[in-house]
Amino acid sequence: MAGVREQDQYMPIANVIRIMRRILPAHAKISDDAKETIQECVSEYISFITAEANERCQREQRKTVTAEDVLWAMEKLGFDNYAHPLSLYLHRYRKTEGEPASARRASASASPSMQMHPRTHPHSHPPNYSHHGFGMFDFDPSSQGFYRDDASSSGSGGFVASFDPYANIKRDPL
Amino acid sequence: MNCLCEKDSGLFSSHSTAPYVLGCPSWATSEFEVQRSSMSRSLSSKVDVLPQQCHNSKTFNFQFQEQDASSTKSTDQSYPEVGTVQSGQISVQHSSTDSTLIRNEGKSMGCVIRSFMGSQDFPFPPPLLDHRPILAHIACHYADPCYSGLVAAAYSPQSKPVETAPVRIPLQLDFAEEPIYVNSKQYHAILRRRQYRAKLEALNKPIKDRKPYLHESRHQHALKRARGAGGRFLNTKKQLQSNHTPGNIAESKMHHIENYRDGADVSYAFNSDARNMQNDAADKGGGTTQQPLFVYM
Repeated sequence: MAGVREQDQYMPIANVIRIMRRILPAHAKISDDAKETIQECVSEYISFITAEANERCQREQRKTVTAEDVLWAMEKLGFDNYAHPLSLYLHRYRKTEGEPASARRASASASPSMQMHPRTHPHSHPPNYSHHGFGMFDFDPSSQGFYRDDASSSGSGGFVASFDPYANIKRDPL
Repeated sequence: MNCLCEKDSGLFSSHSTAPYVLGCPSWATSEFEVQRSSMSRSLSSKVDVLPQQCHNSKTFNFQFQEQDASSTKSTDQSYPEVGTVQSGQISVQHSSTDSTLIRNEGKSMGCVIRSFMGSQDFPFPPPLLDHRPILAHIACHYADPCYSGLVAAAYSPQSKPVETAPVRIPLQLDFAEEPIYVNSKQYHAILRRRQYRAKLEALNKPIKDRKPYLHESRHQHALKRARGAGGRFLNTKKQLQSNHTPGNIAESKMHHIENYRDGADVSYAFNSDARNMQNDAADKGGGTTQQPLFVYM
Protein backbone atom coordinates (compact mmCIF):
# COMPACT_ATOMS: atom_id res chain seq x y z
CA MET A 1 0.00 0.00 0.00
CA ALA A 2 2.72 2.49 0.98
CA GLY A 3 4.78 1.51 -2.05
CA VAL A 4 2.15 2.52 -4.59
CA ARG A 5 3.85 4.99 -6.89
CA GLU A 6 2.22 7.83 -8.70
CA GLN A 7 2.85 6.55 -12.21
CA ASP A 8 1.58 3.08 -11.36
CA GLN A 9 -2.02 4.16 -10.92
CA TYR A 10 -2.77 4.41 -14.64
CA MET A 11 -1.51 2.66 -17.73
CA PRO A 12 0.74 4.90 -19.86
CA ILE A 13 -1.51 7.03 -21.99
CA ALA A 14 0.69 6.75 -25.10
CA ASN A 15 0.09 3.01 -25.33
CA VAL A 16 -3.63 3.45 -24.67
CA ILE A 17 -3.87 6.01 -27.47
CA ARG A 18 -2.05 3.69 -29.84
CA ILE A 19 -4.51 0.90 -29.11
CA MET A 20 -7.39 3.30 -29.68
CA ARG A 21 -5.94 4.48 -32.99
CA ARG A 22 -5.51 0.92 -34.22
CA ILE A 23 -9.27 0.46 -34.50
CA LEU A 24 -10.09 3.94 -35.82
CA PRO A 25 -9.65 5.17 -39.40
CA ALA A 26 -6.55 7.15 -40.24
CA HIS A 27 -8.24 10.55 -40.30
CA ALA A 28 -10.04 10.13 -36.96
CA LYS A 29 -9.32 12.49 -34.08
CA ILE A 30 -9.53 11.65 -30.38
CA SER A 31 -10.29 14.28 -27.77
CA ASP A 32 -8.26 14.54 -24.59
CA ASP A 33 -11.28 13.72 -22.45
CA ALA A 34 -11.82 10.52 -24.42
CA LYS A 35 -8.18 9.52 -23.98
CA GLU A 36 -8.26 10.09 -20.23
CA THR A 37 -11.58 8.30 -19.87
CA ILE A 38 -10.35 5.23 -21.75
CA GLN A 39 -7.13 5.32 -19.73
CA GLU A 40 -9.09 5.22 -16.48
CA CYS A 41 -11.41 2.50 -17.78
CA VAL A 42 -8.50 0.33 -18.91
CA SER A 43 -6.62 0.77 -15.64
CA GLU A 44 -9.72 0.00 -13.57
CA TYR A 45 -10.51 -3.06 -15.70
CA ILE A 46 -7.02 -4.46 -15.15
CA SER A 47 -7.21 -3.84 -11.40
CA PHE A 48 -10.72 -5.31 -11.29
CA ILE A 49 -9.72 -8.65 -12.82
CA THR A 50 -6.35 -8.80 -11.08
CA ALA A 51 -7.93 -8.29 -7.66
CA GLU A 52 -10.27 -11.21 -8.29
CA ALA A 53 -7.38 -13.41 -9.43
CA ASN A 54 -5.31 -12.35 -6.43
CA GLU A 55 -8.14 -13.25 -4.08
CA ARG A 56 -8.14 -16.79 -5.45
CA CYS A 57 -4.36 -17.03 -4.98
CA GLN A 58 -4.64 -15.85 -1.39
CA ARG A 59 -7.38 -18.36 -0.71
CA GLU A 60 -5.21 -21.19 -2.01
CA GLN A 61 -2.10 -19.78 -0.26
CA ARG A 62 -0.14 -19.22 -3.46
CA LYS A 63 2.08 -16.26 -4.24
CA THR A 64 2.21 -16.34 -8.05
CA VAL A 65 -0.77 -15.17 -10.08
CA THR A 66 -0.84 -17.36 -13.19
CA ALA A 67 -2.61 -17.01 -16.51
CA GLU A 68 -5.13 -19.63 -15.41
CA ASP A 69 -6.00 -17.47 -12.41
CA VAL A 70 -6.65 -14.50 -14.68
CA LEU A 71 -8.86 -16.55 -17.00
CA TRP A 72 -10.71 -18.01 -14.00
CA ALA A 73 -11.27 -14.50 -12.64
CA MET A 74 -12.69 -13.33 -15.97
CA GLU A 75 -15.12 -16.24 -16.06
CA LYS A 76 -16.14 -15.66 -12.45
CA LEU A 77 -16.82 -11.97 -13.10
CA GLY A 78 -19.02 -12.71 -16.09
CA PHE A 79 -16.58 -11.98 -18.92
CA ASP A 80 -17.18 -15.40 -20.47
CA ASN A 81 -17.06 -14.12 -24.04
CA TYR A 82 -13.54 -12.85 -23.42
CA ALA A 83 -12.25 -15.78 -21.36
CA HIS A 84 -12.97 -18.39 -24.03
CA PRO A 85 -11.05 -16.71 -26.93
CA LEU A 86 -8.24 -15.82 -24.55
CA SER A 87 -7.88 -19.43 -23.43
CA LEU A 88 -7.54 -20.50 -27.07
CA TYR A 89 -5.10 -17.68 -27.65
CA LEU A 90 -3.04 -18.67 -24.61
CA HIS A 91 -2.95 -22.29 -25.74
CA ARG A 92 -1.67 -21.39 -29.19
CA TYR A 93 0.74 -18.86 -27.75
CA ARG A 94 2.34 -21.44 -25.49
CA LYS A 95 2.50 -23.94 -28.34
CA THR A 96 4.34 -21.62 -30.73
CA GLU A 97 6.37 -19.53 -28.26
CA GLY A 98 7.96 -21.90 -25.81
CA GLU A 99 10.58 -19.42 -24.57
CA PRO A 100 10.47 -18.35 -20.93
CA ALA A 101 9.59 -14.76 -20.05
CA SER A 102 13.14 -13.74 -19.13
CA ALA A 103 14.57 -14.81 -22.51
CA ARG A 104 11.72 -13.00 -24.27
CA ARG A 105 12.47 -9.83 -22.33
CA ALA A 106 16.15 -10.07 -23.27
CA SER A 107 15.37 -10.61 -26.95
CA ALA A 108 12.85 -7.76 -26.90
CA SER A 109 15.38 -5.24 -25.61
CA ALA A 110 17.81 -6.18 -28.38
CA SER A 111 15.58 -5.31 -31.34
CA PRO A 112 14.59 -1.64 -31.84
CA SER A 113 11.14 -2.45 -33.21
CA MET A 114 10.12 -3.79 -29.80
CA GLN A 115 11.27 -0.74 -27.92
CA MET A 116 7.86 -0.06 -26.39
CA HIS A 117 7.14 -3.61 -25.27
CA PRO A 118 9.37 -3.76 -22.16
CA ARG A 119 7.76 -0.59 -20.85
CA THR A 120 4.43 -2.34 -20.42
CA HIS A 121 6.02 -4.87 -18.10
CA PRO A 122 6.55 -2.60 -15.02
CA HIS A 123 2.89 -1.65 -14.97
CA SER A 124 1.56 -5.19 -14.88
CA HIS A 125 1.08 -6.26 -11.30
CA PRO A 126 1.06 -10.07 -11.81
CA PRO A 127 4.17 -11.45 -13.58
CA ASN A 128 2.32 -14.06 -15.60
CA TYR A 129 -0.30 -11.60 -16.70
CA SER A 130 2.40 -9.38 -18.15
CA HIS A 131 3.69 -12.46 -19.93
CA HIS A 132 0.31 -12.92 -21.57
CA GLY A 133 -0.20 -9.25 -22.31
CA PHE A 134 3.32 -9.00 -23.66
CA GLY A 135 2.55 -11.79 -26.11
CA MET A 136 -0.51 -9.98 -27.37
CA PHE A 137 1.59 -7.00 -28.37
CA ASP A 138 4.28 -9.26 -29.77
CA PHE A 139 2.03 -10.81 -32.40
CA ASP A 140 1.11 -7.52 -34.06
CA PRO A 141 4.38 -6.99 -36.02
CA SER A 142 4.49 -10.61 -37.16
CA SER A 143 3.72 -11.44 -40.76
CA GLN A 144 1.59 -14.48 -39.95
CA GLY A 145 -1.95 -13.58 -40.93
CA PHE A 146 -3.52 -16.40 -38.95
CA TYR A 147 -2.27 -15.26 -35.58
CA ARG A 148 -2.84 -11.62 -36.42
CA ASP A 149 -6.50 -12.31 -37.17
CA ASP A 150 -6.81 -14.34 -34.01
CA ALA A 151 -5.21 -11.65 -31.87
CA SER A 152 -7.22 -8.84 -33.40
CA SER A 153 -10.53 -10.69 -33.18
CA SER A 154 -10.10 -11.84 -29.59
CA GLY A 155 -8.11 -8.98 -28.12
CA SER A 156 -8.67 -5.54 -29.55
CA GLY A 157 -11.91 -6.20 -31.44
CA GLY A 158 -13.86 -7.69 -28.57
CA PHE A 159 -12.34 -5.36 -26.03
CA VAL A 160 -13.05 -2.17 -27.99
CA ALA A 161 -16.56 -3.31 -28.90
CA SER A 162 -17.53 -3.36 -25.25
CA PHE A 163 -16.44 0.25 -24.83
CA ASP A 164 -18.16 1.58 -27.96
CA PRO A 165 -21.53 2.50 -26.33
CA TYR A 166 -19.82 4.60 -23.71
CA ALA A 167 -17.59 6.32 -26.28
CA ASN A 168 -20.62 7.21 -28.40
CA ILE A 169 -22.41 8.67 -25.40
CA LYS A 170 -19.25 10.51 -24.38
CA ARG A 171 -18.98 12.19 -27.77
CA ASP A 172 -22.59 13.35 -28.00
CA PRO A 173 -22.07 16.53 -25.92
CA LEU A 174 -19.11 17.58 -28.10
CA MET B 1 -37.84 12.24 10.05
CA ASN B 2 -40.99 10.17 10.50
CA CYS B 3 -40.68 8.78 6.99
CA LEU B 4 -37.07 7.83 7.62
CA CYS B 5 -38.00 6.12 10.89
CA GLU B 6 -40.78 4.21 9.19
CA LYS B 7 -38.46 3.12 6.40
CA ASP B 8 -35.86 1.98 8.90
CA SER B 9 -38.38 -0.04 10.87
CA GLY B 10 -39.74 -1.55 7.66
CA LEU B 11 -36.24 -2.46 6.53
CA PHE B 12 -35.33 -4.20 9.77
CA SER B 13 -38.62 -6.06 9.93
CA SER B 14 -38.25 -7.48 6.41
CA HIS B 15 -36.72 -10.79 7.53
CA SER B 16 -39.73 -12.84 6.55
CA THR B 17 -39.37 -15.01 3.48
CA ALA B 18 -42.86 -14.25 2.23
CA PRO B 19 -42.91 -12.22 -1.01
CA TYR B 20 -43.50 -8.53 -0.51
CA VAL B 21 -46.83 -7.27 -1.81
CA LEU B 22 -46.27 -4.29 -4.08
CA GLY B 23 -48.89 -1.74 -5.01
CA CYS B 24 -48.04 -1.49 -8.69
CA PRO B 25 -48.61 -4.64 -10.82
CA SER B 26 -45.52 -3.91 -12.92
CA TRP B 27 -43.39 -3.92 -9.78
CA ALA B 28 -44.95 -7.25 -8.85
CA THR B 29 -43.92 -8.63 -12.23
CA SER B 30 -40.34 -7.45 -11.75
CA GLU B 31 -40.38 -8.86 -8.23
CA PHE B 32 -41.41 -12.26 -9.57
CA GLU B 33 -38.62 -12.12 -12.14
CA VAL B 34 -36.14 -11.10 -9.46
CA GLN B 35 -37.21 -14.03 -7.31
CA ARG B 36 -36.89 -16.47 -10.19
CA SER B 37 -33.51 -15.15 -11.27
CA SER B 38 -32.22 -15.20 -7.69
CA MET B 39 -33.33 -18.82 -7.28
CA SER B 40 -31.60 -19.89 -10.47
CA ARG B 41 -28.46 -17.97 -9.59
CA SER B 42 -28.38 -19.43 -6.10
CA LEU B 43 -28.61 -22.91 -7.59
CA SER B 44 -25.71 -22.22 -9.96
CA SER B 45 -23.52 -20.58 -7.33
CA LYS B 46 -20.75 -22.67 -5.79
CA VAL B 47 -19.62 -20.34 -3.03
CA ASP B 48 -19.18 -21.73 0.48
CA VAL B 49 -21.79 -21.01 3.13
CA LEU B 50 -19.58 -19.00 5.47
CA PRO B 51 -18.31 -16.44 2.90
CA GLN B 52 -21.86 -16.15 1.63
CA GLN B 53 -23.01 -15.01 5.05
CA CYS B 54 -20.26 -12.39 5.13
CA HIS B 55 -21.26 -11.19 1.67
CA ASN B 56 -24.90 -11.10 2.75
CA SER B 57 -24.00 -8.88 5.69
CA LYS B 58 -22.09 -6.57 3.34
CA THR B 59 -25.03 -6.51 0.97
CA PHE B 60 -27.38 -5.67 3.81
CA ASN B 61 -25.21 -2.76 4.98
CA PHE B 62 -24.86 -1.24 1.54
CA GLN B 63 -28.54 -1.70 0.82
CA PHE B 64 -29.24 0.16 4.03
CA GLN B 65 -27.21 3.11 2.74
CA GLU B 66 -28.99 3.14 -0.58
CA GLN B 67 -32.30 2.88 1.26
CA ASP B 68 -31.49 6.06 3.17
CA ALA B 69 -30.49 7.85 -0.01
CA SER B 70 -33.52 6.86 -2.06
CA SER B 71 -36.15 7.20 0.68
CA THR B 72 -35.66 10.96 0.91
CA LYS B 73 -36.61 11.47 -2.76
CA SER B 74 -39.90 9.65 -3.27
CA THR B 75 -41.89 6.78 -1.83
CA ASP B 76 -42.21 4.93 -5.13
CA GLN B 77 -38.49 4.37 -5.48
CA SER B 78 -38.27 2.51 -2.18
CA TYR B 79 -40.27 -0.46 -3.47
CA PRO B 80 -37.58 -1.93 -5.78
CA GLU B 81 -35.07 -1.45 -2.98
CA VAL B 82 -37.18 -3.45 -0.56
CA GLY B 83 -37.70 -6.11 -3.21
CA THR B 84 -33.96 -6.26 -3.79
CA VAL B 85 -33.28 -6.66 -0.09
CA GLN B 86 -35.76 -9.51 0.16
CA SER B 87 -34.34 -11.35 -2.81
CA GLY B 88 -30.85 -11.04 -1.37
CA GLN B 89 -29.21 -10.42 -4.72
CA ILE B 90 -28.86 -7.56 -7.17
CA SER B 91 -30.87 -8.06 -10.32
CA VAL B 92 -29.40 -7.46 -13.75
CA GLN B 93 -30.96 -4.60 -15.66
CA HIS B 94 -30.73 -5.09 -19.40
CA SER B 95 -32.03 -2.75 -22.08
CA SER B 96 -32.46 -4.13 -25.56
CA THR B 97 -32.85 -0.77 -27.32
CA ASP B 98 -30.44 2.14 -27.63
CA SER B 99 -33.15 4.62 -26.68
CA THR B 100 -33.49 2.94 -23.31
CA LEU B 101 -29.72 3.11 -22.85
CA ILE B 102 -29.66 6.80 -23.75
CA ARG B 103 -32.56 7.41 -21.41
CA ASN B 104 -30.69 5.65 -18.61
CA GLU B 105 -27.65 7.76 -19.37
CA GLY B 106 -29.80 10.87 -19.25
CA LYS B 107 -30.87 9.84 -15.73
CA SER B 108 -34.55 10.13 -16.56
CA MET B 109 -37.12 8.78 -14.14
CA GLY B 110 -38.14 5.42 -15.55
CA CYS B 111 -41.50 4.08 -14.41
CA VAL B 112 -40.78 0.44 -15.17
CA ILE B 113 -37.55 -1.41 -14.38
CA ARG B 114 -37.12 -4.34 -16.67
CA SER B 115 -34.91 -7.10 -15.35
CA PHE B 116 -34.38 -10.57 -16.70
CA MET B 117 -31.83 -13.31 -16.33
CA GLY B 118 -29.09 -12.81 -18.89
CA SER B 119 -28.40 -16.01 -20.78
CA GLN B 120 -24.84 -16.87 -21.69
CA ASP B 121 -25.88 -18.06 -25.14
CA PHE B 122 -26.77 -14.56 -26.31
CA PRO B 123 -23.89 -12.99 -28.27
CA PHE B 124 -25.23 -9.45 -27.92
CA PRO B 125 -26.08 -8.89 -24.18
CA PRO B 126 -22.59 -9.45 -22.64
CA PRO B 127 -21.05 -6.27 -24.15
CA LEU B 128 -23.87 -4.20 -22.68
CA LEU B 129 -23.47 -5.98 -19.36
CA ASP B 130 -19.78 -5.16 -19.46
CA HIS B 131 -20.66 -1.55 -20.13
CA ARG B 132 -22.77 -1.19 -16.98
CA PRO B 133 -20.10 -2.10 -14.37
CA ILE B 134 -17.68 0.29 -16.04
CA LEU B 135 -20.16 3.10 -15.56
CA ALA B 136 -20.63 2.00 -11.97
CA HIS B 137 -16.88 2.15 -11.46
CA ILE B 138 -16.59 5.63 -12.92
CA ALA B 139 -19.46 6.76 -10.70
CA CYS B 140 -17.84 5.21 -7.65
CA HIS B 141 -14.50 6.71 -8.57
CA TYR B 142 -15.91 10.22 -8.12
CA ALA B 143 -18.24 9.32 -5.24
CA ASP B 144 -15.59 7.71 -3.05
CA PRO B 145 -15.72 10.37 -0.27
CA CYS B 146 -19.49 9.96 -0.08
CA TYR B 147 -19.25 6.19 0.19
CA SER B 148 -16.50 6.46 2.78
CA GLY B 149 -18.80 8.62 4.89
CA LEU B 150 -21.69 6.25 4.38
CA VAL B 151 -19.53 3.28 5.31
CA ALA B 152 -18.59 5.03 8.55
CA ALA B 153 -22.23 5.91 9.11
CA ALA B 154 -23.32 2.31 8.62
CA TYR B 155 -21.34 1.10 11.62
CA SER B 156 -22.47 3.90 13.93
CA PRO B 157 -25.74 3.83 15.92
CA GLN B 158 -29.06 4.21 14.18
CA SER B 159 -29.54 7.92 14.88
CA LYS B 160 -26.35 9.06 13.20
CA PRO B 161 -27.13 7.81 9.65
CA VAL B 162 -30.26 9.91 9.73
CA GLU B 163 -28.21 12.98 10.60
CA THR B 164 -25.34 12.42 8.15
CA ALA B 165 -27.31 11.10 5.17
CA PRO B 166 -28.99 14.42 4.24
CA VAL B 167 -25.64 16.20 4.23
CA ARG B 168 -24.15 13.78 1.67
CA ILE B 169 -27.14 13.56 -0.64
CA PRO B 170 -25.89 16.22 -3.13
CA LEU B 171 -22.78 14.18 -3.84
CA GLN B 172 -24.82 11.11 -4.58
CA LEU B 173 -27.32 12.93 -6.74
CA ASP B 174 -24.95 12.84 -9.68
CA PHE B 175 -24.88 9.06 -9.83
CA ALA B 176 -27.27 7.60 -7.26
CA GLU B 177 -30.47 9.22 -8.48
CA GLU B 178 -31.66 5.70 -9.08
CA PRO B 179 -29.91 2.53 -7.95
CA ILE B 180 -27.25 1.29 -10.36
CA TYR B 181 -27.90 -2.33 -11.25
CA VAL B 182 -24.76 -4.36 -11.83
CA ASN B 183 -23.94 -7.91 -12.79
CA SER B 184 -24.54 -10.11 -9.76
CA LYS B 185 -21.26 -11.93 -10.41
CA GLN B 186 -19.35 -8.67 -10.08
CA TYR B 187 -21.17 -7.24 -7.06
CA HIS B 188 -18.71 -8.35 -4.39
CA ALA B 189 -15.71 -7.50 -6.54
CA ILE B 190 -17.08 -4.00 -7.10
CA LEU B 191 -17.49 -3.50 -3.36
CA ARG B 192 -13.94 -4.68 -2.76
CA ARG B 193 -12.63 -2.32 -5.43
CA ARG B 194 -14.51 0.57 -3.82
CA GLN B 195 -12.83 -0.08 -0.48
CA TYR B 196 -9.42 -0.39 -2.10
CA ARG B 197 -9.87 2.87 -3.99
CA ALA B 198 -10.90 4.59 -0.77
CA LYS B 199 -7.68 3.41 0.88
CA LEU B 200 -5.65 4.46 -2.15
CA GLU B 201 -7.24 7.88 -2.12
CA ALA B 202 -6.45 8.31 1.57
CA LEU B 203 -2.80 7.41 0.95
CA ASN B 204 -2.10 9.15 -2.35
CA LYS B 205 -4.24 12.25 -2.32
CA PRO B 206 -1.94 14.38 -4.55
CA ILE B 207 -2.48 11.95 -7.44
CA LYS B 208 -5.99 13.32 -7.96
CA ASP B 209 -4.68 16.16 -10.09
CA ARG B 210 -2.80 14.35 -12.84
CA LYS B 211 0.50 15.90 -13.85
CA PRO B 212 1.21 16.57 -17.52
CA TYR B 213 4.79 15.36 -17.06
CA LEU B 214 6.89 13.66 -14.39
CA HIS B 215 10.34 15.17 -14.93
CA GLU B 216 10.93 18.87 -15.42
CA SER B 217 14.20 18.40 -17.28
CA ARG B 218 12.66 16.08 -19.84
CA HIS B 219 9.77 18.45 -20.32
CA GLN B 220 12.16 21.32 -21.00
CA HIS B 221 14.15 19.16 -23.40
CA ALA B 222 11.01 18.28 -25.35
CA LEU B 223 10.08 21.96 -25.55
CA LYS B 224 13.50 22.86 -26.94
CA ARG B 225 13.47 20.23 -29.68
CA ALA B 226 12.89 21.36 -33.23
CA ARG B 227 9.43 20.68 -34.60
CA GLY B 228 8.28 20.50 -38.20
CA ALA B 229 4.91 21.04 -39.83
CA GLY B 230 2.07 19.74 -37.72
CA GLY B 231 4.12 19.70 -34.54
CA ARG B 232 6.24 16.64 -35.23
CA PHE B 233 9.84 16.40 -34.11
CA LEU B 234 12.45 16.67 -36.85
CA ASN B 235 15.24 14.19 -37.69
CA THR B 236 13.89 10.70 -37.20
CA LYS B 237 17.35 9.15 -36.86
CA LYS B 238 18.32 11.43 -34.02
CA GLN B 239 14.95 10.71 -32.44
CA LEU B 240 15.69 6.98 -32.43
CA GLN B 241 19.14 7.66 -30.97
CA SER B 242 17.62 9.79 -28.22
CA ASN B 243 15.23 6.90 -27.52
CA HIS B 244 18.13 4.59 -26.74
CA THR B 245 20.42 7.05 -24.94
CA PRO B 246 18.23 7.76 -21.85
CA GLY B 247 17.79 4.04 -21.28
CA ASN B 248 21.52 3.44 -21.35
CA ILE B 249 22.19 6.31 -18.98
CA ALA B 250 19.52 5.01 -16.62
CA GLU B 251 20.97 1.51 -16.63
CA SER B 252 24.50 2.72 -16.06
CA LYS B 253 23.86 5.31 -13.36
CA MET B 254 20.64 4.51 -11.53
CA HIS B 255 18.77 1.38 -10.53
CA HIS B 256 15.29 2.80 -11.18
CA ILE B 257 15.02 1.85 -14.82
CA GLU B 258 11.27 1.58 -14.57
CA ASN B 259 10.97 5.12 -13.27
CA TYR B 260 12.82 6.59 -16.25
CA ARG B 261 10.88 4.54 -18.78
CA ASP B 262 7.60 5.55 -17.19
CA GLY B 263 8.68 9.17 -17.22
CA ALA B 264 9.57 8.95 -20.90
CA ASP B 265 6.15 7.55 -21.73
CA VAL B 266 4.14 10.09 -19.79
CA SER B 267 6.15 13.18 -20.71
CA TYR B 268 6.26 12.43 -24.42
CA ALA B 269 2.59 11.45 -24.49
CA PHE B 270 1.39 14.81 -23.24
CA ASN B 271 3.87 16.96 -25.12
CA SER B 272 2.96 15.82 -28.62
CA ASP B 273 0.78 13.16 -30.18
CA ALA B 274 2.83 13.33 -33.37
CA ARG B 275 5.59 11.43 -31.61
CA ASN B 276 3.17 8.65 -30.79
CA MET B 277 2.11 8.55 -34.43
CA GLN B 278 5.72 8.27 -35.52
CA ASN B 279 6.34 5.49 -33.02
CA ASP B 280 3.23 3.77 -34.27
CA ALA B 281 4.50 4.03 -37.86
CA ALA B 282 7.90 2.70 -36.78
CA ASP B 283 6.26 -0.25 -35.04
CA LYS B 284 4.28 -1.08 -38.15
CA GLY B 285 7.49 -1.24 -40.13
CA GLY B 286 7.15 1.84 -42.33
CA GLY B 287 5.11 4.96 -42.85
CA THR B 288 3.31 4.19 -46.08
CA THR B 289 0.83 7.07 -45.86
CA GLN B 290 1.82 10.49 -44.58
CA GLN B 291 -1.18 11.88 -42.76
CA PRO B 292 -1.50 15.30 -41.11
CA LEU B 293 -1.92 15.16 -37.35
CA PHE B 294 -2.94 17.96 -35.02
CA VAL B 295 -1.65 18.22 -31.48
CA TYR B 296 -4.20 18.23 -28.67
CA MET B 297 -2.78 20.40 -25.89
